[in-house]
Amino acid sequence: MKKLYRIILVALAAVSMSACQSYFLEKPDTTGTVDSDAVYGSKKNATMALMACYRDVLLHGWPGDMGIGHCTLGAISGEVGRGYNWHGSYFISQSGLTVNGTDGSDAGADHYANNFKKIRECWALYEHIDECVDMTDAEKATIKAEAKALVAYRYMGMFYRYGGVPIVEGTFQASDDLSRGRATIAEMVEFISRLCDEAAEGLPTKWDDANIGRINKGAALSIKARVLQYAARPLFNSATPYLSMANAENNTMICYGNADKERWNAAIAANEAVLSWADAAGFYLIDSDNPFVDYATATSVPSNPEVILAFKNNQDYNALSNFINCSPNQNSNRYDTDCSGVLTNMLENYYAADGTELSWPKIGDAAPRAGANWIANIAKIEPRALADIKFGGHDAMNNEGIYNWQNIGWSRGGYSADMDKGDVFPNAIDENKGCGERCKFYYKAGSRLWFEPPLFRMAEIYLNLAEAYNEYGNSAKALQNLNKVHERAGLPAIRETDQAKLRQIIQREYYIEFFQENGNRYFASKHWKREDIGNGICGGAMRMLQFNIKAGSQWPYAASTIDTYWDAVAYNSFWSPAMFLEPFPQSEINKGTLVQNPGY
Amino acid sequence: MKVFKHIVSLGAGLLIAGSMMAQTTAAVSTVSGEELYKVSSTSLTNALVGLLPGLTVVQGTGEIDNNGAQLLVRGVGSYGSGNYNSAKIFVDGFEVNMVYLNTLSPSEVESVSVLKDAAAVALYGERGANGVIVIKTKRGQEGPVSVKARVRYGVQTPSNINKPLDSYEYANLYNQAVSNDNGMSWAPAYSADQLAAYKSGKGVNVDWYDQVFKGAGNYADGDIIFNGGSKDAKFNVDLGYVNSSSFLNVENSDQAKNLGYQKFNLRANLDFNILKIFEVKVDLGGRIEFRNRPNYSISQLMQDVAKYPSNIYNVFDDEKGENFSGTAVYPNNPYGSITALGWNHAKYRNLQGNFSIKERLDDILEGLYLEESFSFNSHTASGFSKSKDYARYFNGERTTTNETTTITASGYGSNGMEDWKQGRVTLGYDGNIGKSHLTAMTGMHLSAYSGDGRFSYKYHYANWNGLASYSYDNRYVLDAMFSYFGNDAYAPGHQWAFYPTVAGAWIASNESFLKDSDAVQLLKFRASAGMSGAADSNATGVLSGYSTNGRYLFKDYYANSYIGAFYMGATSGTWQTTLVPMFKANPDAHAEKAMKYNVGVDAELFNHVRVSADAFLDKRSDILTLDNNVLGYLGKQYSFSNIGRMTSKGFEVAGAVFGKSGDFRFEVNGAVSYARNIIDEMSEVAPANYFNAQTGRPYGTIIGLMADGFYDVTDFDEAGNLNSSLPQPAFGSVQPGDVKYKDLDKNGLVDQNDVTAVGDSKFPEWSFNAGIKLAWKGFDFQALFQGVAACSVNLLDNWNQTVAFVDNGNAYPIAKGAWAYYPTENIDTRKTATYPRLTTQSNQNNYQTSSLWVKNGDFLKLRNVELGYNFKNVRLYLSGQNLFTISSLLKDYGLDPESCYGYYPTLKTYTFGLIMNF
Repeated sequence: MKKLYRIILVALAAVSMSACQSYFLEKPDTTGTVDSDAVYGSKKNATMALMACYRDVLLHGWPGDMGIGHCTLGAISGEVGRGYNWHGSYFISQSGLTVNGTDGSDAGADHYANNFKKIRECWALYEHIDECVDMTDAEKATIKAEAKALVAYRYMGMFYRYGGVPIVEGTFQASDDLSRGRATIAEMVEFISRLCDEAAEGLPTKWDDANIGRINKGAALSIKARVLQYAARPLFNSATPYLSMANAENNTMICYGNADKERWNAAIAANEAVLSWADAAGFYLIDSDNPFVDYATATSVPSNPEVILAFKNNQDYNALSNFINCSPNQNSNRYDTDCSGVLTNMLENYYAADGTELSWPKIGDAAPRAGANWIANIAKIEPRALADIKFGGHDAMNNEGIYNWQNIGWSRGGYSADMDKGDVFPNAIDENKGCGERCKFYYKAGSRLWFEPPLFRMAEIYLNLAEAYNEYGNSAKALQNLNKVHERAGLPAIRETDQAKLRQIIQREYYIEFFQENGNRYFASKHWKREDIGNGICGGAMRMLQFNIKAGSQWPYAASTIDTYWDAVAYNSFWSPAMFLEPFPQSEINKGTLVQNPGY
Repeated sequence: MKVFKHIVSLGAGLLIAGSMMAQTTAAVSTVSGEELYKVSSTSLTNALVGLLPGLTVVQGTGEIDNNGAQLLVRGVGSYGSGNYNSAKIFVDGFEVNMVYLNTLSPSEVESVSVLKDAAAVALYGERGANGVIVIKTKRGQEGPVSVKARVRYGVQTPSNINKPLDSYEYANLYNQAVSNDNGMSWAPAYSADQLAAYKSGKGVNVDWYDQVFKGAGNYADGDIIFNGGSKDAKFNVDLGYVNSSSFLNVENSDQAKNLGYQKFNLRANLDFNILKIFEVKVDLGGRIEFRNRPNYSISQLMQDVAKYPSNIYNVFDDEKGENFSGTAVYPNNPYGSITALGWNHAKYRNLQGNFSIKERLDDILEGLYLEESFSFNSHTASGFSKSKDYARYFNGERTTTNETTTITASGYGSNGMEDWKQGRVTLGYDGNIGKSHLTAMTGMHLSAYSGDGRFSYKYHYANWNGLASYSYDNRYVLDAMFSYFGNDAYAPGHQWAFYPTVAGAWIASNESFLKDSDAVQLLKFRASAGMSGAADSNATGVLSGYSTNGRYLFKDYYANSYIGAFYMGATSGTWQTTLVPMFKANPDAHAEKAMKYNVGVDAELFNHVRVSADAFLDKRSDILTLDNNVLGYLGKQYSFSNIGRMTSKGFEVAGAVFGKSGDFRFEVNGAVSYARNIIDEMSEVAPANYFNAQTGRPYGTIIGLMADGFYDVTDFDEAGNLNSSLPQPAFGSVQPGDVKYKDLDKNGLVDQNDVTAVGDSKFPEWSFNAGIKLAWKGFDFQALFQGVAACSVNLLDNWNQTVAFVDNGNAYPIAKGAWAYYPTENIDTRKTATYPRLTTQSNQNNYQTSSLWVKNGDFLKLRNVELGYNFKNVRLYLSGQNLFTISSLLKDYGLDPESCYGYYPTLKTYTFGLIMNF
């Protein structure tokens, strides 16, 4: 009996140990993290996933999400200086775009792989949102439309960077065919347009105040409008590519293979659709005949009626403000803007306020100009320039009366100026600070560091129409749309009807209006196939005005202390025709499925 | 002929007393706790150096509280856990971690064994693939009570410091650097007057290492051990105290504290026999540790002293010595960092209790037993700091915004805690049937760990294992073993895995033809083959901030994202929380597998020679790997799969010759271990050229460019452009004196497609040791040498001491070999240069990982030497550790291979000790 009792005891011990095993090894009890079931188990969590998509997708091309750790796209397209030697823009300026990337990018000036990471987040949201129990069908439909629009937004960015890229229409499973290659230009346009059309169906015309920041119908239409605009521009809308692919059959990944004027007509339709939506939704080009305030408001003030979609970033101290806010308010990362002064290459685009041309010093001038000429030029320059730039020795005009936006408070000086350096002429005194520093996006911002990058503004739609009508042969409509923007800036109407001349004027208008916005100058110049792209835009001599200050002057030097000034080449930037489109990362090409863009 | 007792006591965690001594089939090396006591260190792992064949030990730094040695069992078997310290550690049958091992006192330890082959690790399942270190603590012996009291005092100095150039040499080279950056036209930054002042000693010339380190630190410990008991109640009680302070140049006060350490430990191991059939063990161990240090990170301090040139400023800016010097570029005056910022205190508390009851079931079946044991182990860390700051001055002016403040205390806070609960049940049988002997057991080990952190919060495993060992006539042994291992890291369906092993041994010396041989006392041949696993992985380390240690990959996890922000709403909007996916779920993720093979021989010959040799093959598969070949458009989500494979092979040979003659006794011993691995598959994206690949090479092989001397003046045209006939480097423009690289793929461009193996891995392939022990009457003497070979050091990993001037850096003797050509200054090193031309600017070309910077990391050290005298029950001794090092790295570059990355130096120790037995 005792023996039996013992045996039972032993058996019991064994059974009890194995019985608790399934419980013992159950689902991990991790802290602070949720799995996909939990994410899509509640509206609250699902909304967090949606917000992550917005945050990740929309910043494309702005500091913080261009792959490059330091710089703006303007620093590699002749707007501002290339930065410190550890900045990605400095490297690109020296060595061009490379297949191994620089300063955090995986290739060129973008992070190719990150695009798809973000697209996957959107598709995961799209596929799982139906699992959410405490959300109405209408809310789910809207979120699905938002997800599609966000995918389209990111594809839009890749479209004008790379040409055709692989089309991904959902989250991949391990069993899926993973060997698809790049789409053609035509397939890209068809795909993005379809996404935009489907998204526009499900999106509200406009959002209530609490939800401003989310994609509305107009933003979806704007994505399509910009994509069709780029599709019609000569880089893609061409029988032959800028460089041929190694295998010419692949040329359709980087151009249509034919030039078709009707593509401009499609762009017109898409842009006109945005205008119709704007009329209904209450969005408009701000034009109250107060040019400085109108332009400054449109580019700076949160939720103003001209902005169709902005990146709602209301947080101080992040990459965006680090690289764009040049004022002394930015005291944590002053190095990020320190060597990014405005280039003469950019300055020369601005008109005088009366629509005439300003006269600037030129390379090769026999003698420097007097400081008085500088003051006179700034007095004459158009209002947009004053909203964009804090000119050397002058106050920033966008925050009147605030010490930190005045020259006296600008403790870094902010322009290429030094005392008693007259003998340096015609060379450069300083190769970093140029004629002044940026103040765009900060109208009436005071000490806040954040700003909301405008992703689509009504001004773009009008300029798109101006360009498209001009290319389509309708100069009257072109001028009508161009002058909307041009006259809003306080300038007299343009009357040029010669297609080629008007094309130059329209492009110049883009350069001015979209200084520092969305990499417009970087991308559009390439797609326009500008002949001077290697000669002062992306490549070639980058020039900065140089200021010799009278001996004994007080720092920071006011404009009145400028003795003489001249233009000098600060540095030369590298350009090769391969750079019309971005390279794919070498590591990605090595996997054997993707075809590299030509010249890399 | 001695009959070897079959001691495979599995209840307490596979305690095998070494392949030499037992009738086991396994490859095991063992060392006694007494040997470990010979090293004075606040970290036990440093005492393992050179004692266990097959265990490679790289000594830890001398930084108190951060001084654990690095351990490797049979090399790096898998890149999955690809680093040191991947072996699992079991103390008295229960798993512990490296922190526990480091703070265990040598006096508590009876023996340390390293389990190496399949037979040895067979029962450990997914804890076994990277080897197991098994520690047995001391237990009471039946007999009269013995008391052993030991005290010792040691002096510790840095074993090596690589000092920078003095101001004069620094300034001379700096002149070259700025001239090189000035288009190679001479443009000195330091004038002849300044140089003369430096040379005559009138200029600023501060040896920052001398400012920060004083002569020596010290180490003292004492312990007292009570041991004894009756047949039914035995005890071993150990009481210990350690006190150590470093050689930082700080006097302890209310305002500042030297790096210092104290430990109080107590362990009581008790055995009881109850009611004739129960054997009960109660083990209680506790430790309290205190650590003080200056309120400045020691690693940052080491970077500062390495980087701050001798001529920047004097320690104090004024004559009175009140104002610390400091500038915007060099703000952290090293002497100020240790004396004027306050101090920091940490406490650690560890308590472990083990309870075991073994019931003999002889009335059911003779030799049957049931054993149940439990272990509770908890560890907590907490601390506080007292901080202050000082104003920095230069030439009488304030240079930074720092203010001199009085000392203020921060709140006392937790630095984390963990607990580990384990339980085991074992049913075993041990008996003889005629000439046959059978040992059999089966059991279950449950382990529940919880700690702090997102994924280390919980870690559970269950290991059901078993063994049948049959031996016949003490001549033939056949073992069959298994582990059926369950792990909560994986999805149901992949949680459980089965790991079988078979092993055999032939004890030839027990055969009739050798039984009576005088020449052969023991001759045993062993062979084993079996499978084990590994469940931890570094692959998920790429998930920054969220490393899962390879666990929980089967579910789609989302994390709160702190990168950037998104807002919603008119005007300034409201902040929105964001959730992002962390990785691509892989429901098939499972444990790594190791298939291990081992053959070995153990022999004792002529009564004076012992030899043990093993050869092994370890095939790893299913190594969890970041799948690099997934195309970007999948969504770049990190995707992990069990796709890696590696092969390791090698051998260990250990031998000893011993004997005595009259009052003279001697022993000479030595061991050589070799382990070489090859990565068979690691999901490497196919590189441009086959020779670029990491795959097919040993793990950690340094891949870089092949340096081919330096560019000469004649390599450039008059405009300063590199001759177009030469391969063009893709790392920015070059000038004479820059490093020239071989264009291995001959495409006219030197870039990342020209990289290849330029050195070994940092993990040594060879490890060897040799010792001698002599005794004459009351005197004894012993010495231990240890070394490693076939490993490389990349000097660029010690950037501050290698790269001169760049980023306001310092210059070291290595920079004196720089290429320079200034005929007007009588400087021409073109033919003898060993270092690229100097520059003060960042230089992409010269500081690429290349063969120029990769150096041999082999070394031989005198690890321990001891002279003792014994009379009656007292022993007095003097010993020294790490007294000298032979290494080409030390000779040529002033760097100790164990301490070559600019960390806190390793230690040289001189100890005097006293041991009394009562």
